[in-house]
Amino acid sequence: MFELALQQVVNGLLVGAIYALMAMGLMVILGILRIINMAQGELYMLGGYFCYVAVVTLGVGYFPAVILAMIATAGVGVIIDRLAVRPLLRRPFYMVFLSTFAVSMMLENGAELVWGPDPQSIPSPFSPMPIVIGPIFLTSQKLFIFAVALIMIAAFAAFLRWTRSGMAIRALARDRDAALLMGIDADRMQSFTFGLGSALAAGAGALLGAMFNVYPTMGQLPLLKGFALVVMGGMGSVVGVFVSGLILGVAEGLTAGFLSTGYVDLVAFVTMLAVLMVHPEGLSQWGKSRV
Amino acid sequence: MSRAGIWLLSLLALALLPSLMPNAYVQYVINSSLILAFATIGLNVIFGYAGQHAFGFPVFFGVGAYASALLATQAIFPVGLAIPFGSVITGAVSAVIGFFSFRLRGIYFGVGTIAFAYVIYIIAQNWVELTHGPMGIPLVPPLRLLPESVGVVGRDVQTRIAVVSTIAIIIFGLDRLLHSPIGRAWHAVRENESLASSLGISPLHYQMAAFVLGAVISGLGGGFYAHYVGFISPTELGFHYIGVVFIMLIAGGAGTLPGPIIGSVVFGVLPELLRVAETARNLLLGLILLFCIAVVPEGLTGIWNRLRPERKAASDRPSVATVPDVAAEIVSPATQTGELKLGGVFKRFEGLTALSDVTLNVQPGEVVGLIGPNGAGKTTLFNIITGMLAPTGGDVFYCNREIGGLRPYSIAALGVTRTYQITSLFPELSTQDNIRVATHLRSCRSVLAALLRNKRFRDSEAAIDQTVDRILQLVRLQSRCDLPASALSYGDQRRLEIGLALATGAGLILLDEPAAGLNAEETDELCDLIRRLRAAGFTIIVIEHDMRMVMGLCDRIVVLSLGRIIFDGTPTAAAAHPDVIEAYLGTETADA
Amino acid sequence: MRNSLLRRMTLVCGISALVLTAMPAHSAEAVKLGVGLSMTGPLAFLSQQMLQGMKAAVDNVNKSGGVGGGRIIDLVVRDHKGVPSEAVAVTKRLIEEDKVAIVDIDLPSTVAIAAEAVTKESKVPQIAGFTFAPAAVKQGNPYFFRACTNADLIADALARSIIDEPNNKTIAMLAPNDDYGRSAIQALTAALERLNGPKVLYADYYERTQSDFSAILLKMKSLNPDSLFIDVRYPASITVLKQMVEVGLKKPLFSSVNFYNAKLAEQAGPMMEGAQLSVAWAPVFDDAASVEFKNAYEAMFKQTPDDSASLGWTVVMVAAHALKSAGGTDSESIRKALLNINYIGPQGVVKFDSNGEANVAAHVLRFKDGRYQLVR
Repeated sequence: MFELALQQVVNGLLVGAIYALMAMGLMVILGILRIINMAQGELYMLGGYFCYVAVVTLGVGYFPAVILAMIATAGVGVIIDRLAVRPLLRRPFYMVFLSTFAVSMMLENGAELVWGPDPQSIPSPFSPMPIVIGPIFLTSQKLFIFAVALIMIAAFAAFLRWTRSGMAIRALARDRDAALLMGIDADRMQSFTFGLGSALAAGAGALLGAMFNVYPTMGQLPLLKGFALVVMGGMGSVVGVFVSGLILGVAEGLTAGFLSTGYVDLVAFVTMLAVLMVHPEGLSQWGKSRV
Repeated sequence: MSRAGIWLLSLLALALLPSLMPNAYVQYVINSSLILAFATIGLNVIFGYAGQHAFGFPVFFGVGAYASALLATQAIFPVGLAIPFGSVITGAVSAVIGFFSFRLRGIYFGVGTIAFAYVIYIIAQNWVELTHGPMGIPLVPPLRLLPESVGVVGRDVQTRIAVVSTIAIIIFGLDRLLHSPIGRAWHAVRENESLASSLGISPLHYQMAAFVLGAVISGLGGGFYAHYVGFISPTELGFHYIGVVFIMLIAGGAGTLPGPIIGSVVFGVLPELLRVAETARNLLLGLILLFCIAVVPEGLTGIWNRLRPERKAASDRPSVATVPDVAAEIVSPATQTGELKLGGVFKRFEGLTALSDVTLNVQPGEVVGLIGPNGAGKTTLFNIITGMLAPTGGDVFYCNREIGGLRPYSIAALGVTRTYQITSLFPELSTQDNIRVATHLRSCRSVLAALLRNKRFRDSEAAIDQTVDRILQLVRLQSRCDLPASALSYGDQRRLEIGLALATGAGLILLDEPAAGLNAEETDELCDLIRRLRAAGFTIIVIEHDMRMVMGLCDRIVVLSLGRIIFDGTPTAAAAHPDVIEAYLGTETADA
Repeated sequence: MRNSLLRRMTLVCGISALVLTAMPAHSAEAVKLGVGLSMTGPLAFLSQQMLQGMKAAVDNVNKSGGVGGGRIIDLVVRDHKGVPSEAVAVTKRLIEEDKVAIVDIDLPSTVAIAAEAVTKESKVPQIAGFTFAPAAVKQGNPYFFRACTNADLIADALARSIIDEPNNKTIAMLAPNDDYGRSAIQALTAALERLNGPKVLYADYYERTQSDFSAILLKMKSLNPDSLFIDVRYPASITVLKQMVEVGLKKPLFSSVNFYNAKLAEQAGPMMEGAQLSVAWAPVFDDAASVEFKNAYEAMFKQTPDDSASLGWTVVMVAAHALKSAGGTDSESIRKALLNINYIGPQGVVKFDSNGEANVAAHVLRFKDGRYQLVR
């Protein structure tokens, strides 16, 4: 029993890092720009597919393919920002929700038309042989992803904190008009941030696509769980999202281990709702303003 | 042709014309679209009328389907009872979900409803004992209006007639509700929630009402669906429904009466017409939604409205002719007036003390001027008296009732109202409708009365019309009574605000810088109005910076500086008081 | 400008109405077979294979004289996306608009059951070629016939193999959380109990969207069963097999036709070594009907057929035989003909009992040395 719990916890931590990676892109766009991008899941999906195309069709190696996928998807993200988000910024915010929802429908259907509805797998450079430490089984792929998640998070936090662009993004998030007055090109910064958020999502999609599979609807659940994580972690907090991801991974693992797999997805939503009931305005400043 | 005539004809056409279609499959498509219209109408109630972005709302259609199917198959209800009972169960479920969802603000509300919708889906998938899980519920008995032996009228036609009749009844009821204090309250909450609250409309009450009503309507449609298709599975609760219903509503015209029906029929049938859209259906629907949002946010109904010639004066009442400034009969307070007593009120905001030890008594019929430098806490004090903020300590009494910490709408019901520093109105509504909304507290708010249009309701509405008329004359806006409030000039808007305050019937009126931006002549008119109000029995507290106005108008002056009252007495004494001069008046010279 | 917009819209609506009412004419000598499959969705691959089997059969029938009186068979195929309510729409369309004589709505079982409500009311014969749910013949529909095996028979065949496995006292199970998976585990559990087989320690269901199985595999590992029933669809099956290695879970493996997949063998062959799976058919069958089927299929598609294709072939053949002996294309004649049919197909004898059940037995294969071998 103890061994099972221990293994589930370790496994949950690894899975949780994956969730955090998935949510990172959403956190950038939602938590910092406060734009509800319902197409975020599809950006994750496109990252997976672009990586698949790069590896299988273009013959590029796996790791360069991931980078390529991130760049390509960043481009898609900038286009979405320009076409579906920017023109609607002055309107009630649910317009952006609906427009990005429309984009997500189109991207999902488009992917289905281009690559077919069947899942594809990306050849993985990782060996499935487990690394055994005591009673714990690990895999090199999961460890790699955990490490990547940590690095990305640290790098991103540093970027926000110490670079000029990072500060510009934070200023933009705080008060768009004031940022404009300070000489920050708000439009370009927003596109840049959108692209960054898309690239992060794509990276997660490419990394995870190799671990699981890529299929057109793969972005639906990560979007919802990503929301849950961003809400729980505090809208603008990189560390908060990471920690929430870990907690979610462990909670899901324990649920699967001791209850039933079917209810695993409930964990994210029930936890999010529970957090919101206690803090109806979210865990940070953002929720308090009337949007 | 009158509006009612158009409706009747259209509904009749919907019910009977499809029978002329070449084959039963087309009828099936049309029937399915009409049934889905229930979900769209339900969504319209919460999203279009009450303005709440409940993104997960379409799930109630599926809940209704399951409820009705289970009642019919497990509890052996006759279909005719299963459907309405199913929708009642849906309403109950929505009440629980609404209770929790409305605790959330901003985007969390929308995301929260999606989360709830997903939870319902997972429960349906996994609680196999109740819902049969993914295996679904087969053999759902069909709806039959006539005994099976009467084969002339097929089941398709029977279903369609039942569906169209039910839609007709729902539309009829909704129309009545919309043209009643309830509909006005929904609009108010949608356009300006905080203003609505301070006019005596409880936002939560009306939002919940819209939520549950919309859910009941959706659930009714779900019931029809279950008994028409004959098989229910968790896919009915799935995500793709949400997108489809939203598209139908927005493309049809959110917030309008025919919009949801038009949207459902057009976008239920359209994908079937475009055969190429078999595989590219979502691509197409997404494009349509984007197009609508970008170009025609009002949907098909909006386009239709734009194309029709402009109607003169939407109301049925004869338009009021321009009347010269006749001293109109003043409306008097509808609630009892009494003494306002503040005792030791203080307010702290995370380290900043905005008010400390404020003790003040205002007698009925007084006009009190509240002055002080910017940042002294005057508006904060108003906010506390009217319930926008709760005092950190101390007490507030009006007519010997404790009002400190109550919600704005409760305080408004007790007879206290205000105007705002920055103009707060309902911009989309016409001038007279703005005032009409503000009469909420005096109106007959019963749902039953609104639906039945009984004598009590009609009398109440007639009295309100009279009151609106008198107030329009009083604030001299009769000639502009049908203009949208956003089209009024600044001075007119300020007068309209006072009109709103009067419409509530409150006896204690707090005016926050009413003269800001007015010229000398307008200011004099304002003072005249305030004097007449005093004569009619109102109690007025005015925040102002215009010294000439304050000195000439007020019985008493209260001076606030850095959160404390530094003077409370007659205007002449105030002008001579050294503290007051030092804190505020300083280099005041007579207006040149 | 606004008015021209209105005019344009009216024009579009008018043309659409014309398109809607204009029906393409069909030739009078063809008898139509209406087919509803899941051309998109998770069962798309199986549907594709089944359809190919059907086409091979149609070709074969038409080349050898059709269904009598010079009539040939015509397939009308529509996509129901695996959604039961869509299947109802598809069935109605096939019956009312396409005017087919027989319908076959398959993949998954829920769509066949949903369609039964329509065929029962419209009194149109419905033959199921890939519907395993036991409930399908319990809908009180006299026009429904199941030409393939069912979950109980599949479970029976596999249960015997499970019992034959030495030192097998306990078993843990995993299947998809849909009607197929739930009936599979239900049937297998019942069969094992009936035959005094290994005890079922644990059974769980995974969601279609699920990509990570490590938590549930860990749970299974901790219970230490003697064998596993892992009925996971492709390509999640690859993930499961990989993760089984990753968590160190290695036991005798039992599965279903989901593991009968060339790509799976290619990518995860070594991990599947020794696994036994229940199937309706496999190319290793060499009876006369199977040989005829394989030859016809390979001639048309230049590849070896699989389990799904054989089911498609069988259902068309059954329909064709019924049409030949029916004499007419009205529902009653076809129904009578189906009740009297005695057809020997690649999976075995198809003869319907009074419930419309053909009771075709299932078979078990073993995956050994990279190849599938027949066990029973």
